[in-house]
Amino acid sequence: MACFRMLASVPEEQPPHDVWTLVRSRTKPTRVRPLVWLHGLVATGLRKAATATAAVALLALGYYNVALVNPEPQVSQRQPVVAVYSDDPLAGHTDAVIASIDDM
Amino acid sequence: MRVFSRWVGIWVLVMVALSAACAADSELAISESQKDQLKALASNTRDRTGRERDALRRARAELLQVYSNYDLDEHKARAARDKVSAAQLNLLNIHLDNEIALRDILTSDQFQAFRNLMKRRMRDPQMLVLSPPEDAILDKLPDKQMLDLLGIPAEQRKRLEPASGNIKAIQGLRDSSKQLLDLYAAFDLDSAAARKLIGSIHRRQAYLLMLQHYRQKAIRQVLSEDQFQTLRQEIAKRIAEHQPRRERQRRR
Repeated sequence: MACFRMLASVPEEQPPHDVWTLVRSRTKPTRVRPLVWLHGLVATGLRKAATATAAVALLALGYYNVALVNPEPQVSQRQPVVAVYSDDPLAGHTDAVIASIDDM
Repeated sequence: MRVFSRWVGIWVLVMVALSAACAADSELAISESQKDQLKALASNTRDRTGRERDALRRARAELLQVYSNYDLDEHKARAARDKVSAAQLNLLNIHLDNEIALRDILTSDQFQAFRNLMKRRMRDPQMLVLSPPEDAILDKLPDKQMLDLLGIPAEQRKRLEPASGNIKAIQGLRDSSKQLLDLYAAFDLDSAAARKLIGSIHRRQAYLLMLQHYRQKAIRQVLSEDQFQTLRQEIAKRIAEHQPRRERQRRR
């Protein structure tokens, strides 16, 4: 009885709100949408500038791939010399014409 | 997201256009029929030049054989020289025929594109005209070492010195060849001018053959038959030393 009385004398305390409902609503797994997040985070002007910069960088990379990866053969300072016998001084030229046609 | 997609689209289009432009520049735009004609021309020219070069080699070997005897057979020497000379002229004419036929197949723009293609392939080589190997040996030998061995007196050595006309003829040949190549670079080929230059080149080739013959006669006037045979052995030794290793292996 004494124990009962002691327990009965303890004032009843109740949370002012349903905290757990709130916690559950906040911790519920939500779909991550980085672009929405970015949209909210970065100003529109800044986003446009960043997109334009990325596009220019891609263009430069593309140009590098197309034009510079297989550049024109550099003519060295010391030009190659084709030895042609005086018997057939134009042999090198005609042989090059034939070889170029063969490569087609 | 839409902005980004738009930029990617633009980039892809620009890249496609750039690739197409580069491909158009590097490749010759010709029809299948033109390609077939060019292949046939190349095959024909290769066969003709091959035949003439073989004939030239045979004639050179024949001439070398004549010059290897102390008793110079003028008749045989002349016949061999004529064969060399004919093959030289035929080769020059084959090159001209090839150039004319090339212009009959290609248009002016295509010809220019073809030249660019060829230039990239050749990397603008600087042409250097040399004497044929047998010629060079006969021009340079006997050298001082050989003449010392043969005991030829100083006053007679002067007669065996290589002719200065040889160098001039080679230089003239080089200049005329360069002029002819310049003519061949233009689509509008002046055939008459080309034939004139061919004549000039061929005259120099014939002159080189004559100089070689005079030198051979001078050698025989200075050397006795025994000295000549010793000289032959020395020249044979020198040729064996200078022959490319591959050729020596092939002959074994």
